[in-house]
Amino acid sequence: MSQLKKQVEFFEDFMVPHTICSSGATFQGFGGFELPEKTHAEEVEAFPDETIPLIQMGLRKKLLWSHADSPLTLEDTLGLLEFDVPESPFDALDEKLSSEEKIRRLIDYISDKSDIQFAPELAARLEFLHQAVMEDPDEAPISPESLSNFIGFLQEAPNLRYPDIVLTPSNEIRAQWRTAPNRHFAVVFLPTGETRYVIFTPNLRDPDKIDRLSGTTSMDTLMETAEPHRVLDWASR
Amino acid sequence: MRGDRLPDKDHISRYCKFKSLVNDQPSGASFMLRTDDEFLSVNWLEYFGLKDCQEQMSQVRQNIRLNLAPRAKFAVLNVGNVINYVRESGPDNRVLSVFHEPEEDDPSHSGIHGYGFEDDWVADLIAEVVQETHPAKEP
Repeated sequence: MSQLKKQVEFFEDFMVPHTICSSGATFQGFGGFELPEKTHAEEVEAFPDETIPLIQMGLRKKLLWSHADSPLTLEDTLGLLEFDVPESPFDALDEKLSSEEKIRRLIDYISDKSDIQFAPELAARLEFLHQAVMEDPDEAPISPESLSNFIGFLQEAPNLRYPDIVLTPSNEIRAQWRTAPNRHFAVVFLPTGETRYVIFTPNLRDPDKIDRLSGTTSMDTLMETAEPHRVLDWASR
Repeated sequence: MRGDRLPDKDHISRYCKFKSLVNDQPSGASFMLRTDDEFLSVNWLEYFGLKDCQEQMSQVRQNIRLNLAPRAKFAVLNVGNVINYVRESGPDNRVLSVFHEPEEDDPSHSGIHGYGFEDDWVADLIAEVVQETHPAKEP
């Protein structure tokens, strides 16, 4: 299955059913504002614990939400939840909540639904990193797009060992498979689907020397690019 | 003075956030630049005229303009080692420079110049020449 198809299915199966609008607020306090006349109240009640827009914060003009079992279509939803609310200083917070919620769902996906062999370790490490950045007032959340791409990559490359995982200054995921200074394969998963990689590997003719390469490539072609440099010798199980 | 090149024999420290550590040690991510950074922020340890590294680190902790997190680390590096290792090991004979970049409240502030946010390999090489680490907060 192609990487792209898998990514699309991942989003359809997991992200879309859990899609929250641009914020991550919970259902609490939904009654605190007025819905338009055609509220589809019975449908709304079907989601007592689901996430919905943080409308009371007056944050978004257009807010989407969806649920796999919902009779609401995207169009209905768009119509239902369009509010003409002015931009507010809380917009930045709104964005932050949204990313936090996406990260939470991605970590839950790894734990509960992914077929990644080291899912428990991976989820624990990501949870640790997520908490670390959220405790720091100067930090933004982990990039959900970067994490999503990383998950997609791991699902496509099931032979890889569990990597060391860190965050770049922009809070993108960086995975590192390193067993020695001359056996080093590190990859930044960019939100765009591109990757930046670094490979330090023994020279083919003179193993005492180290070949050092770096570059940018798409996630789809990363392993094709890396394999000729024998990264699987130390990065695979 | 601003713009002075730091001597090769001197040392610098880099505040390494917890999110960049691998097994409590700095990784390449600890030395990566943000997209808008002109240089990597470090502190010049000999600036204070103190010989003991612990005392130097105490001065850095007092002056650095960052909220120090308990799980973060300071990495200590030798200026000459960083420059020589990157020049000799990298694919393009990259020459880094370390300049004094004092700030009002942080007089030992300095910067490693000569690489950009996409030069991850430089960051990885710098991580290989970390001499020692210290807790971000005074023990």
